[in-house]
Amino acid sequence: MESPKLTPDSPDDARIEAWLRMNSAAEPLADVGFSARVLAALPPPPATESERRRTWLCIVGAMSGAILTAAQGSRWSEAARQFAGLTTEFRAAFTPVADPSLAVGLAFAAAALAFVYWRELRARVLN
Amino acid sequence: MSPEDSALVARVIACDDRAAFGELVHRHQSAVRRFLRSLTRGDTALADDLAQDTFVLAYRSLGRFDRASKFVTWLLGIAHNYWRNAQRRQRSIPLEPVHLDAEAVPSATRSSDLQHDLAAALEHLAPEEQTAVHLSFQQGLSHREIADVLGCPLGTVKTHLTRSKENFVSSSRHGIPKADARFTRRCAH
Repeated sequence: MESPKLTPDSPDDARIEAWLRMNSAAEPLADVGFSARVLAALPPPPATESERRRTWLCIVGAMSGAILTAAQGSRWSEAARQFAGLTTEFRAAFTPVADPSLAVGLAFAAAALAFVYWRELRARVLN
Repeated sequence: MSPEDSALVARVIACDDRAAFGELVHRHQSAVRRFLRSLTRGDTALADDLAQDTFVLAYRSLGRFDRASKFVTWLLGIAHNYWRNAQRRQRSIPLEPVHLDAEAVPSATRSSDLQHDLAAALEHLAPEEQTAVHLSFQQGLSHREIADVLGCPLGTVKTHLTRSKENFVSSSRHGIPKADARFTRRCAH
């Protein structure tokens, strides 16, 4: 810290400088959530290129689907029948999972994966 | 070892690293809040609001930060400009700052007549002189850095500090300093 006069020329000068320095020797202010409030007040981060691409893909896909659906409007009953058939096949595909031994095996596999990737999972959940 | 301010600034600019900016805020919040508290005559709520806006403004204009200078000096400059603009927008904010609080002086110190006079002299300095004294003694900035913060010539800062010291010396010898009359005129305007 510089002072206006580096060599005090009277005892008063020295006392004044000492008083100013003592008066200035304050503890730093505690943060008490100030930094968190500033971070919350920052503008949202701009969308990245991949996010923008994904958004456009979603819009284009949704519009294509809507147009196709409108074009196929007369065939709703057929579409519903096909969907029902698809649901039945889907259920049939998952019937083996109901087997208790397979369920136990899957549970073991999930537990092993959770054990191996525990740190990464925890970091992702907490952040 | 914690990274330098300039390294953190580089991370914020390069990849919008908000954790790095959070670290910068955490490091310098005390200096900025204390400076604004002094400018707002100890109005902590207003000072903290202004400090928050100062950091958001700093985040937005981080690309213009000159890495040759100290980050805290740049921040205090933004805070000072923001305070002045806020004053212009809203005249209800107190116009005359008191930078070093006489109440903060230990009672043993206040008991001395000289030191009591000094505390009074400090309150009666012109605002720009108080700002210079605050930045010099409380923030520990060099004269050049004070000039950067206040946006004025180096000679002006030296004049403010010299005049402040003369007022202190005068008050220690003759009671209330000669700056008092000038201060009263300013308040009247």
